[in-house]
Amino acid sequence: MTHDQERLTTRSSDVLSISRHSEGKDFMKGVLFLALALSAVQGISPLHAETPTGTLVGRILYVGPAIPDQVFEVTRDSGFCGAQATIRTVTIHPKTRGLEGAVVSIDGVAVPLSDPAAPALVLTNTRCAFTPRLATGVVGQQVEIRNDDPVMHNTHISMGSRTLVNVAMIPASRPVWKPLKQSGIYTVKCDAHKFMQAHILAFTHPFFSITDETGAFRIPSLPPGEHQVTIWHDTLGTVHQSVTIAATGDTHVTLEYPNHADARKQ
Amino acid sequence: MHAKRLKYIAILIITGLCASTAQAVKPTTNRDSLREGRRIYEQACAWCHGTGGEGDGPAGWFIGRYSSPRPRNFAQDGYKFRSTGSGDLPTDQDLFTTITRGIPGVMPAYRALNERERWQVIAYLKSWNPAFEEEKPVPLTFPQAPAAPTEAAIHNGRNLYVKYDCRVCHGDNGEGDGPEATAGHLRDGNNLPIRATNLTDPSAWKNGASALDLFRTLTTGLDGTPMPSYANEFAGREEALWELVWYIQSLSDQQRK
Repeated sequence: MTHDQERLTTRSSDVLSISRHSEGKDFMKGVLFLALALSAVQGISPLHAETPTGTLVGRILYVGPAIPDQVFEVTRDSGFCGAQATIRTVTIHPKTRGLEGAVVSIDGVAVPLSDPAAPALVLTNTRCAFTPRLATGVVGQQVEIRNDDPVMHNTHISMGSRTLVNVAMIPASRPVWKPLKQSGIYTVKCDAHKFMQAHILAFTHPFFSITDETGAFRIPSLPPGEHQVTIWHDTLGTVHQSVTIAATGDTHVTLEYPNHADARKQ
Repeated sequence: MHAKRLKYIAILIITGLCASTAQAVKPTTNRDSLREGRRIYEQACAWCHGTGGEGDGPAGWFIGRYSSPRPRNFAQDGYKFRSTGSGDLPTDQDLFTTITRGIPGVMPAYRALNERERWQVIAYLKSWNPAFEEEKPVPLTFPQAPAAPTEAAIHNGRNLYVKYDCRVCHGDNGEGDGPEATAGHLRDGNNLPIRATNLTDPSAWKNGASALDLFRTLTTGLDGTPMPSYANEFAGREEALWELVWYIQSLSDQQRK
């Protein structure tokens, strides 16, 4: 991790702590473990309504230089897909400078999923693009793959060198379902149309959010204390930051993506 | 041309032999068998796959350095040759079949190992990937091939070959020279360039050359390659999938005529 990644800009109203390995963190882990053990004995959810929880509310900013869109020549089905395909890489809100489509998550909180039977994530091949281009879900959640186009697609979802599913989707195909098997970043592509790409991020906890068009996000029901925030964007890469969640109410943060080439490579 | 016919007959004979060995009984895995599996692995497999199973053996420096296939990383890669659904792990029997058959042009057949030794190696290589503990791969059900195809069935298969865009990669005549292949667009799971299979040369078919092998390949796809699963498209229409199989087989028959 580069120095720039460690040095996310914080604003005056923030309650961020740069210290990652403080004794207080270890103490909070112990407290959390004890709480989980007690709750297991009593047969109640660790984040029961009576347990104090806080909400992380914030905005992700990007104030670096503009990153050009990617333009691809369409070599197949150009009659329907068009002669060129343009992929917007970084979308910034003109007023807030907020970054749309970043995934904010808080890992390391040992809380089981309260709703394992979440509805399927619907991933549709439509107009030679994946809709949505970015999705988040939990391990075990089903992905429903659809094709609304009059051309054949080949939806190929993988994590690293392991395939999650690779299915031919001819026009008017029946949907295909596949559960997310492990946490991490899944790459979605169409082997028939190289310009089609999307990502699915899978988690083993419910503490994640996608920034909206203004760069805003909100993660509720967090145990108070210090947590590690991970921010991921498909073009700008991954950065981490510590944050301290208040025992009650909202904790407001504004995080700025580092303007550093090394960060974008990740 | 005569040599090609002999090669094709040899493939069929080997396939038949493999079918018989595939019924081997798997012994129980324990510490002793894992230790023995490691010994065999380090003698027979580590040269390509590496002592740690990460596909980085000494031969890995020149095998799959710039183009597919690279020796498998047993710790994380998916598996191409399976009887299970797309994205699923292979069954132990699938691994046994691959080790017994080898992979044409890529990996030798390890029939010199007795069946017990093959099972021991399988138990050892699986120990690198925790997914084998977490997932329970279930083989799909594959029907026996119907009686010999008719000309009409092969004609229908040709229509399916066009409809399902097989020719985009494999070429109009199945020679592996479709536009996506010749343009260099095809990549494997390691982002290495990969060729489309030449369907007119059964000796090069890595997942087997029998009609049932083709049916299985089309159903499961080949994970880690652009070859997708067509299970969803042919669900409840197995007869149509056989027609496509027969058409593909006819491509090599046509070559011999």
